[in-house]
Amino acid sequence: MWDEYRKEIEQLHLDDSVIKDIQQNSLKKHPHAFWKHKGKWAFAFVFVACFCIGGFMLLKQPKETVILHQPKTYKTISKTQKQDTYLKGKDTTIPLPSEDYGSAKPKTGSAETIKYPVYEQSYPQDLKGIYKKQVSNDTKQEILKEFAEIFHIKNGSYTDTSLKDDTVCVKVMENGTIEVAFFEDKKTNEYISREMLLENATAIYKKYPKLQMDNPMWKIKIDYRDGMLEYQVLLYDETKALWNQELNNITFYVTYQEKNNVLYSTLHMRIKTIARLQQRQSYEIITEKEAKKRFLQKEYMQLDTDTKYLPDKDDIVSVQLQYLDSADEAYRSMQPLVYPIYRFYLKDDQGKEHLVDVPALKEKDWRKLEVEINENN
Amino acid sequence: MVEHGEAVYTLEELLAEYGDMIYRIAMHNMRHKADAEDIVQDIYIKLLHNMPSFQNAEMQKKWIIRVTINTCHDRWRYLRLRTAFSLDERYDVMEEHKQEYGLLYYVRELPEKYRNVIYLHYYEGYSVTEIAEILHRKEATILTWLHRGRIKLKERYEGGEEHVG
Repeated sequence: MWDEYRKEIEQLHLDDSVIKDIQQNSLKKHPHAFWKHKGKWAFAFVFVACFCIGGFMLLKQPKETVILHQPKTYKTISKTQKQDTYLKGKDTTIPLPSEDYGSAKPKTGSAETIKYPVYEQSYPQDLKGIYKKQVSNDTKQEILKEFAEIFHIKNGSYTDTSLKDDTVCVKVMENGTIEVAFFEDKKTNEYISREMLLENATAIYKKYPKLQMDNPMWKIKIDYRDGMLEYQVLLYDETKALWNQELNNITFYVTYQEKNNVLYSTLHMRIKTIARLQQRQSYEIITEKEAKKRFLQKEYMQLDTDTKYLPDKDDIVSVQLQYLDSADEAYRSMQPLVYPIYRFYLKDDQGKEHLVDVPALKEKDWRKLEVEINENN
Repeated sequence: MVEHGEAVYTLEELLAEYGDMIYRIAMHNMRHKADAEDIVQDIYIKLLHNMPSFQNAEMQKKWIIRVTINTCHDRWRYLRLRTAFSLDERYDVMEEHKQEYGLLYYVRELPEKYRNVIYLHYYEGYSVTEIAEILHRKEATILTWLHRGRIKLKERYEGGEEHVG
């Protein structure tokens, strides 16, 4: 058995194309041995040169220009609007963000710059509704009737919140999420792989035209539970804005049950839609700049609460405006409202990723909503 | 293969000595060729910029194995947050997997802790003590993982063979 394993591994070799890529990259990024001895002087030289050139060019910079300054995810914004020619080919001219969405105002002169994430200009204008995660009994009945039609259930048994027949069970949750379980209890020798799950999910999705989206995209979500990889298939419409994808999607996942030493699997489908939730009110959204200020004041909600990690501004990789409503994050699903947040993606010194959220509402509105904020000090 | 010689630092030597090994560990952990190749590139960037000095080649190799496994783990975390595929792309991957049915496929389907231990023991030939040192775990833990990994692999492989027919 192990000979076979070793033979199969022996067949794995690095492609020549990858080796070529590595060699090319190494020409750009100098080898370790060089930097080990010469790095400090080279760095000092580059730093001084950049400082001199940068200072000179900033003094010459025309007014009203927005400069997307590579690398990584930040742009440097000054008061000017015309692309500066000294930046290399990767730099891009972009429209000045509107006042509502965090236009940059240097404190002094044209040399003043502020670091800002690049997607600042693309915020959805309509992202301001606050929704209550609750549906009325009448709405629940409407949903059940609609799903009876989708799944061709003629003689199912109804309760206030569920509909069931021999093959399928549909349940409408209090927060408007629709949970569907397909009763095809299958004996299984092993846990279902993501390819198998995707295959099953695709078959279900294609079977019911009323569930179909215009431009479906699949996302494989992976989680570790009890030392095992667990997969979910998330289906969303790629043409919609990010917040819309978060709130209107279908997730497929599998649960397992052991009976008499035999493992059985059941396929589940979770449908999220904001359409039937009550919109509580519309609120003004704070700018990303304000959100960052709040982040620096430690007014954020930390996702990984069991870690000793303290978020730091230097760790920010990117920031995204989106709605907070994620059923797989337990503490959030307890919250009764769907509301916008700025999500900060962070990476610490060890390369570990972290997430924190800053509510995207004005302080007074936020306090009124009485949603809990973790004060991390 | 260098066992107890001097550690290497030039790109050509690193590629010759460790290229396939890094790729194989990445394939065990990432399962998809493209992901594994990305990992190899990441590792080489790390090696060229951050590799400490080593007394001998064996210590260097162990360090590289550790860094590769950690990088794969980090990539999984990244994929969990960001990865999105179109339907067609997913089907390509499925087809790729169907052609790969073999013992290696089943090792790669094992949980991370088992597949790395199995690879290091049965392919690289490391002892339990050495694997414990590489993975920063107790020897007893490695013994348990090795034992459970073997059982799970046997169950899945035999079950899968019948299934595939």
